[in-house]
Amino acid sequence: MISKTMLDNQTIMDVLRTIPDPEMPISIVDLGLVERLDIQENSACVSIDILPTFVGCPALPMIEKDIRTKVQAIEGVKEVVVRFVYDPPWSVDRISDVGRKSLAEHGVTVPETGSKLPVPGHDGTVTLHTSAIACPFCESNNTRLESSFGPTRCRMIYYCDDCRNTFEHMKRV
Amino acid sequence: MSGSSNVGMHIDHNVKEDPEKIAEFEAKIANGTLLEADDWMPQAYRTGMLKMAEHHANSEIIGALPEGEWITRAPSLLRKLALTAKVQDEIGHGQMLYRVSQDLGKSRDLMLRDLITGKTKYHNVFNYPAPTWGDITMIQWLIDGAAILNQKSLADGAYGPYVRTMRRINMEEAFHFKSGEDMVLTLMTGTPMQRQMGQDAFDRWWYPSLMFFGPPDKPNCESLPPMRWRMKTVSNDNLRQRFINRFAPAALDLGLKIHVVEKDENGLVISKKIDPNLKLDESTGNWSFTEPDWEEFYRVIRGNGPCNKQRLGLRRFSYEQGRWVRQAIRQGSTAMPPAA
Repeated sequence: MISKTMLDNQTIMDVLRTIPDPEMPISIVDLGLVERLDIQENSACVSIDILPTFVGCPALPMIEKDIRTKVQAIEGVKEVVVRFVYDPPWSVDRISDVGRKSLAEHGVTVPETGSKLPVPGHDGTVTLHTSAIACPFCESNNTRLESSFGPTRCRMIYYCDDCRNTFEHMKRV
Repeated sequence: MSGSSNVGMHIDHNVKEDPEKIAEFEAKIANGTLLEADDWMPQAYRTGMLKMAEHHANSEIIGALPEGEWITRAPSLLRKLALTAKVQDEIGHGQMLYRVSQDLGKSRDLMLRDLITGKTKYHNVFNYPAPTWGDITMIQWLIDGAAILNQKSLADGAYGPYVRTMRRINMEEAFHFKSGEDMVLTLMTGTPMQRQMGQDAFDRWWYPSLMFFGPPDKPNCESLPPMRWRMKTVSNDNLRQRFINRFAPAALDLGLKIHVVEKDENGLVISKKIDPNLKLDESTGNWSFTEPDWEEFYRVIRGNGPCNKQRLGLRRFSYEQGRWVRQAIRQGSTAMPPAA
């Protein structure tokens, strides 16, 4: 039987939205990893470009495998091509509001949008963000950096002097 | 990676706590409110939680040592990347857990010194050797699997700062465990030599992973402070049974044989036989098994395991070598102008 359902980007995105980052409670879509989707309807070939957060992130093979398994399972899909691309470079600005909220509940904060470092080709203007990082648990600004190296490459350890919890802040890239 | 189930509790029974405050404290725990660092807590709770969190922190930074040795020898670039990430992850978890411990009343420097002088302990499992890549595989599959079971139960505890840290740790642990599954699958579907390496390493790690959950429980464990106050939420024996129910059939499926072993002083297997007690009780869903050698467990805890000296020696070396860094940071921060 030939399916009459036309594959569209929305269908694929909905499936990608069910794939979590392997280490954080956020989907790869909300994390801003999905850069491009291409569906060639004749061959039902779906090609997906993914931006790694950090070069050398150890989670990439697992993310690739999850994408393949889940997208392959969509009716009508015959082939899935997953490519890792590095242009444009991923930035914390790509994390959605939904994603930020779910990370904060987990104790992981994200630099505010627009605060990424300039990339080559940028006009050189840098907006300074000097405000303290608010604690995700009690919202106090009475926080400080505990260690620039957290449990993963993309995070630092912060500490809140008010509620006395540690939390993790994503590095500004 | 690690857990903290076999923490000995040394409670000062001379402290007379206000029964009203205790009742309030216990009511809070009973209705599921998380305790915070500044909340009132009985001395015995503070001491117990500190011991647990400190033991856990120690285990994270010692646990990174056997794996760190294998970064340069990992069999592929991908495995090397994953192992590097795992080591970073453990040190990061150690830092967060030392922070939790500090807030319970012990300075970080004292904790690091007590660790290298042997006054405090770390997880016993890290006193065993990892002579082959098979061992790294089994650590990442069995020991991380055991750690997840344990830490999931700890994330259900009552002390907020520890519980929140544990929730984040558990997600990362689950990620490394998935790599562990991939590693063991690769080994056990490989060449005869790879499969033999997997079996030999499994023989070395099966019993340490059963011991991981700590010694058999006292009959009244549920009414004793660790469980009554939800420092722990599941008993040692219960966790061990859950582990075996999951990992014994998985091991058999992979073509591994489950042996009772005898080891020499270096932790290497000198004789083995198929565990005669291993079988599934269909009515309960529980697997029966031959108990670990608890005498060996206590011998290793007392400092006489195959790698105790090596692990602590390396930790001491690192502590001494890092002294100038700690000094520079401390002086640097006092010399800095005040923030605007």
